[in-house]
Amino acid sequence: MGDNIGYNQDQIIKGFKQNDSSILRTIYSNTYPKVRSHILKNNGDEDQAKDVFQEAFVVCWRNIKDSKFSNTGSVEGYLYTIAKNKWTDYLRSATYKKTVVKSKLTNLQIVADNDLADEDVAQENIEVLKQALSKLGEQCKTLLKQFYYERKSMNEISETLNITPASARNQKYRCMEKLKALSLDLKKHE
Amino acid sequence: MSKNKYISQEFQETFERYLMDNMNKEETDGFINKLEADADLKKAFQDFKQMFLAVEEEALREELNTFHKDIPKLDITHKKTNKTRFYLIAASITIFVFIGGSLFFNKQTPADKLFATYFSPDPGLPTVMGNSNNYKFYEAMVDYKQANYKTAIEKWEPLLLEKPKNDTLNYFLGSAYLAEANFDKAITFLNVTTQNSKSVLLQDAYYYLGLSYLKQNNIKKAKENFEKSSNELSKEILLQITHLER
Repeated sequence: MGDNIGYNQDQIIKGFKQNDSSILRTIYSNTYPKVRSHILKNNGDEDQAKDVFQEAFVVCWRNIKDSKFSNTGSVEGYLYTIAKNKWTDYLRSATYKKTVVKSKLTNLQIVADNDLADEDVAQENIEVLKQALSKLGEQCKTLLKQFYYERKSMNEISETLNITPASARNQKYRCMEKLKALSLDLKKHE
Repeated sequence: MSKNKYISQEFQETFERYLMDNMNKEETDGFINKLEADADLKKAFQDFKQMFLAVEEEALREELNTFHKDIPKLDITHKKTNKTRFYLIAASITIFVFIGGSLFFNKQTPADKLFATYFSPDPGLPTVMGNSNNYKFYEAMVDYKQANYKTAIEKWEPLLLEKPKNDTLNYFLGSAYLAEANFDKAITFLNVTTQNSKSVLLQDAYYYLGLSYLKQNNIKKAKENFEKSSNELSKEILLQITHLER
């Protein structure tokens, strides 16, 4: 466990940037057992291990895309550390309520708010967009997923959806336009 | 570009090519320069990037769940066995000790049984912090109430230097030693408490002294102390002892 047979660090980073399924899967299956073992040893259960790990995986994936990951360590080590820290934060949050005096807690929150303000706003927008996404029709969802996540070409997509490439291209535009409109609607009603 | 209007297809496709790494170096530099020069364009790009990320992230999360299905389930029985095995071993040892004690070696005396029936450590005093004089005493009381008797003893014993005859301190030291099954020490401390005839803890101190002697199979001394104690349990246990003696 631990070696990514056949993949070097550059390939892994490129794989994350391009959503390469087999690379993502390898990192997932190599790292999850270690995280699970850490969480089970530290008062957690398997469901919690899965949730924490997947959240960490998304953060790791996002940071690699945003070039926030310094190329010095291994991706697996980086992912493991994010997951471990997330679990520590979770454990602390539960115990903080009981032990930290109120004044200290307020200070902590203020610091945290300042630090995360921008990212919070961006993440909030993404959450709204994900809600909007769930309201899109199935055809739109499939098309957008194949194009933006699976990185399929318009030709490939047109084949799976049984439409012409030109029509696929137009539909992609209409679907994104719709997604934008739905998210604006959701924000108005918040 | 109006805030709420969606970008043109041309812009969308340019943004896509940038985000999907499909631009060459020259084109990328040109694109970045354009963004820096045009705040509206930059804003439109950032909005689009969020949509792009949302679609990707949602798809990634779906895929993570697919990956997860391939993870070999942690052998639940194995995992549980680790914990369960520990308890099983612990339980077997306990049972062995009990059976060993009572049947095999036949060492548990009727007095032991009585002790086991009646002994439970004094629940301790409510710990109200704030009185600085007694701070150390109550700090140890917290340990005592959490059944950390050794820690409580370590914290209480130095206080004896100042108040060697204090009935409460001696009583709880006795109780802690009793809970730790150190009966000689328990008797020593509880005896100090009973020397103070006005102590509110007097009746309980006699009761626990009785129990300590009972555990040492010193029935005579046990009876003496239970007789001095007016608490209900002492009376009950006295009756039992009389049965024992028949």
